[in-house]
Amino acid sequence: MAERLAAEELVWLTRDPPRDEHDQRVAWTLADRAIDEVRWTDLVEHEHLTLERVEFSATQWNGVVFRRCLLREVQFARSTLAHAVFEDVVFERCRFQGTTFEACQFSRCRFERCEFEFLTAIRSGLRECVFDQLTTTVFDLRECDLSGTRFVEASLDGLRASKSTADTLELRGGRLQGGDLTACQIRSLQIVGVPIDGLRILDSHFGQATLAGARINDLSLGGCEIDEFAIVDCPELLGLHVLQSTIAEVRIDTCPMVAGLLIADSRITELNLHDARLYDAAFERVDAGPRSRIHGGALTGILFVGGTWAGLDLRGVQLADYVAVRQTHFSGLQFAAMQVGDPLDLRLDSDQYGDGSMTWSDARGT
Amino acid sequence: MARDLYNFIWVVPPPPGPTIGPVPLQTTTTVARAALTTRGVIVFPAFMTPLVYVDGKDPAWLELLIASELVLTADMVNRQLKISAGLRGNKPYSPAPLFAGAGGNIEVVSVGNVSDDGETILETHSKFAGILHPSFATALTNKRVSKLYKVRIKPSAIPTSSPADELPYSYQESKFIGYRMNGTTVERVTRLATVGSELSDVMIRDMQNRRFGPDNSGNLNTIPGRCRYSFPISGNAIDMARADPQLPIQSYHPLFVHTGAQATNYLDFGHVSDIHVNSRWQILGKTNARVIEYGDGQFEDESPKIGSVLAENNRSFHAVLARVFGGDADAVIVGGDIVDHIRNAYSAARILSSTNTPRQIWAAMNIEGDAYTDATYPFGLDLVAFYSYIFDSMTSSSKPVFGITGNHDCYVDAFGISPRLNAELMASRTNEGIPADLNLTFYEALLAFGPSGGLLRSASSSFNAEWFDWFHLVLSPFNDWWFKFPKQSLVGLGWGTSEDLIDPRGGQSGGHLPRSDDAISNAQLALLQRAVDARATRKVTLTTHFTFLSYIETVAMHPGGARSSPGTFRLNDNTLGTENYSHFEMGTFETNRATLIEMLANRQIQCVLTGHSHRRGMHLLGTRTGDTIPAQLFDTDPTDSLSLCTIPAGLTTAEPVIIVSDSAGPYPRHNRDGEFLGWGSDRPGGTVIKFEESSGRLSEVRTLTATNRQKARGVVAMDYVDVSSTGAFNNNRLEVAWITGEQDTGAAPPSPTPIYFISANLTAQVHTTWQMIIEKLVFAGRFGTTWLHIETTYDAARNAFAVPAAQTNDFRTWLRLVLQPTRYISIKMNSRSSFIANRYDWSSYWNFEVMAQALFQYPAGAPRQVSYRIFRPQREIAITGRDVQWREAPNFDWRMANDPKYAP
Repeated sequence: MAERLAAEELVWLTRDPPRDEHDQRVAWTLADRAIDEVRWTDLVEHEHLTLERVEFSATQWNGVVFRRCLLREVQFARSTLAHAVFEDVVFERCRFQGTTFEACQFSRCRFERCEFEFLTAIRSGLRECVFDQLTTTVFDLRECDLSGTRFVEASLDGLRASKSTADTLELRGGRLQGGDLTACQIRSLQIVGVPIDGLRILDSHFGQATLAGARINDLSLGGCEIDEFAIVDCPELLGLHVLQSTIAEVRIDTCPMVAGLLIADSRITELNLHDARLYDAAFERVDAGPRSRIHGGALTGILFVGGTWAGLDLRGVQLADYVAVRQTHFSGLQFAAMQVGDPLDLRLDSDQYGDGSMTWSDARGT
Repeated sequence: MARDLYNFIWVVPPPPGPTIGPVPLQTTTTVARAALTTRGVIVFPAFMTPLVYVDGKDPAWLELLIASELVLTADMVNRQLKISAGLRGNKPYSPAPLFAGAGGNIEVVSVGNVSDDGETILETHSKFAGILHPSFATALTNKRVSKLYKVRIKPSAIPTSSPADELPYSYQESKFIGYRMNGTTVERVTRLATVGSELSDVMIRDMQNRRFGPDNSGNLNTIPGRCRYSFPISGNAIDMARADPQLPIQSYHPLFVHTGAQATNYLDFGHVSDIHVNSRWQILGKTNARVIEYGDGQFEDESPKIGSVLAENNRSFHAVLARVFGGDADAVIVGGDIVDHIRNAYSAARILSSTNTPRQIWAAMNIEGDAYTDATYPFGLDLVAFYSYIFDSMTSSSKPVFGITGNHDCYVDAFGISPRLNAELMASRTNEGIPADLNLTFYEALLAFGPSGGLLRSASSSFNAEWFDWFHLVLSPFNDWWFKFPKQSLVGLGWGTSEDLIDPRGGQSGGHLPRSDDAISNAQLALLQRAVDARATRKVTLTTHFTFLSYIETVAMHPGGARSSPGTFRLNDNTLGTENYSHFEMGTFETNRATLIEMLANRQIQCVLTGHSHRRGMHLLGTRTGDTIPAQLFDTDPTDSLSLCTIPAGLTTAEPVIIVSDSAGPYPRHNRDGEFLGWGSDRPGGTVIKFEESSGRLSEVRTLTATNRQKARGVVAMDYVDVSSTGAFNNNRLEVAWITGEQDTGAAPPSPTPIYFISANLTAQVHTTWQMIIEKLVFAGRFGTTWLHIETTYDAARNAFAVPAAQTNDFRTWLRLVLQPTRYISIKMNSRSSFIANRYDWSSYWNFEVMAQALFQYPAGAPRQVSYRIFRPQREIAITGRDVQWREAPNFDWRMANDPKYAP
């Protein structure tokens, strides 16, 4: 049973950590304490402090510094940490509930098997941190820097980030459900082996964004600018929507089940589909560059509405069910080694082609 | 034949001035020695512990308590105590003494020295007793006026008309008093303003200097008058742009004289509580943000400017005051929580500007980080506003007002509009009910308030009992008081110096209202006990902010259509634990509980008036069994056929009547028969309690609802069911019936008949139990620069809403191409339940942002099919228990970046 802080412990924790007879800081441990409804504003620096099974409830702590500390099974409930600094701190099985980080800096921290429930981080840095087997239920990041941070085998429900940045950000293993990113800037985003169920990305900029090796359901990008957007080795890719975005390269590689792909009102310099089987895909008002390719895989129902395709090279693709084209201009459409199902329903309406281009009617002949 | 209002003033005459004219060389006259005067403070009566003199019923004396520097004599009282008509800012008085001679007309008796122990009971000769709040006692001591006297004077001293020789006791100084626009620039206005001269005014100014900063330009406090002057009432709200230079916030010592037909043995009481004056809502009401930004003049009935539907506390309080002061009440009791919090948003530019962008309002509301300063969130705004309202009502009606403190009255820091930090789990002090208090949905409230709307300034309590000093310096020196009407005792007990809520292991703290930790203290009990002991002469009405009985919101008022709702009242003397409080004792008290409940069980108190829980009810007690007393909860709304407003004569359980009043500012909760799971609301209100003049029997209890305020919006209740409770839609979603893949993309040939059918998917509780119906279901979304507006029609055969064939493409666009933050649903609802249909306003639409998530069925050899789930953002997350953290917030960043209306 956690007990209240003793007076001496309170001083150590909030103002003046303990020292030895030579007035040197000493490592110390605080365990099995409950701290309710306090506001601490004294600047205090802790090094080599171990907190074990300490419960902070409704605590407001401004300006605390933790360096090389260990927090084990510590709980923060409905607490606020403002202008706090955590460097090389290890959090083991810690739980954060309804807690806010405001202008805090976490550097090289490691969170192991921690739980975040309704955690909000505002204008905070989480740099070069590792979240190992983190579980979240709503983790809200606003104007945060996540550079160099990695989530490993994390179970992320309700990850929200807005106006946040990262040089590199990596998610590996675990799962992601119900995520929202708005106005974020990330140079390199790697999501590997993370099944996704609901991720909306708005008005964000990425250098490189790669999603690989897991099922993806309901992923949408709106108003984004991306240099390279790659989806690789996804056993199922369902409901990918790219709207009002500018992407230099969209690459979908080795995805045997791509249902309901929609790219609309976007500029794509280069679309590369490789060994992807698309069902009921739609490209509406897409301006695509000259080097788009669909190689291998299948198109079972595809719709083009409006837009221009400077070059689209289809090679070794199975065409089935229908191809519908409305008021779309293909400057250079090329087919090779196509496998066209019978019957293929060509629904062509005001389709236009450039000089030397093949037409969709030519697909069967190749 | 009236109620007349007078003010006592303690004056210290200035020393005689220098002789003007030639100095005589020689005189034979005898110069009389200057009469001795003393500095002094009238302790009783005070602004909200006034003296009520009932002509012919009360002893023929006017009774006061006066603190003085020197030994007080009847002659000093005769010369220095003044009585002037009305409460006038400049405190005019006649220099003439009260009587030709003090003998036989004035009696002065020492009652010792001032004590700040918070326990000593002071009393007048017969009318009043009370316990000084330590802050007032300390202020007296600091001014070296520590000798206390009970004084009584003959009523013949009351002037029958204002004497012609009246002099203003106050003086005038130039003060910063308001703002005005000069072109596009806001500039400060300085005027000559009244400054009080009574020592009690000086004590108030000392407190104001301490609390609000110095009264000079170096003070960052932006409030006109720097919290030293009342606001004018303009329409039904305060005029926040200027203070009234002639109405300083100063001491008054009111005397109410009831004569003729008003001179009754039993006075009827009005009760208003939980006012939560919050003047920033007046600023918020100026927002033109809309949930669905269709464009000016487009579908404003469906998605109105949020400011136009916001029901803010100040105007509601004004409406309640009008009903209570304008009705049968002879005296009005203010039951605490006069403000939400001491610091609040102030922006002269927003107040003066007739048009404000949402972003400007967001900036004015901002409580985040460094935006929260002494200038943007100055101290004291709402204390001044409350004072302004009460002063206006008291003086215009000439009705006395008695007041006690509530826990909010010393909450210092502001909080957002939806600070729902996991309230259920952490026993949070945060209040998820604020949007409903303002008659808004969560989304509306947050969109109007801005990105900081979910934040708290203080994670732990901002309860700071030191701030009670404003209440006790300005409104009443007494934390606890006992006023004796001719045949009634009215006892008021203040909140105390702490509150108890955060106790993660406790029972009552979890999801409960705060309780008063140290009430009812031994001193409070002693005061009450004396009143109870005298009940044969005067029956006791007790008023506190904390409750004695108050059912949790989820317990219905009329379960199954019954007239009353059974509950239990428990005798529990455990002041430390929280384990055994039931769901019928929300927000009660901890100390001396057993003794108090014994008093009630033994029916030694006639009436208890409380607030705190924002949910009205009249509770009657049965016969005690062991530690449990059965209780019945009745409604006192005279418009409800099941209510019990008239107490039948001879009813054995008629005393005590334990009353909780509706909140008088925020919209209170209402649960008639389980509808909306306790998240129903009503219009704000107060209570009038009437007594039979012949017998003194409590004969009537009626809710006085602010009927000129808009009804509680039904969609707000629905929003709370959906966001804060079990949900309004099965599996949290509407569902679009399956279509083929090529229909989904639009590759299929157009269909002359509808292809899209949407199941509203309302839960059985919503559509069957509460008999809710959807009158209109509209899908709205912005595509490019145009807005889609798709109005469906109900297809009874399919029990679904059909998208007209002509709008198939629009709906496809809505499902697939509209960017998420601009995809909305508008639902116009109603109910087949006559109560729900009539009690609530169903004219407004329930607007909320949604997502459309495609589902795919691609079985081998069969047509490929697509369906959509339509749900609110983040509803794909499976959170068990109450879904208190659904993301009901707008995407502020997206609006700022993409909608010019929200641009910087």
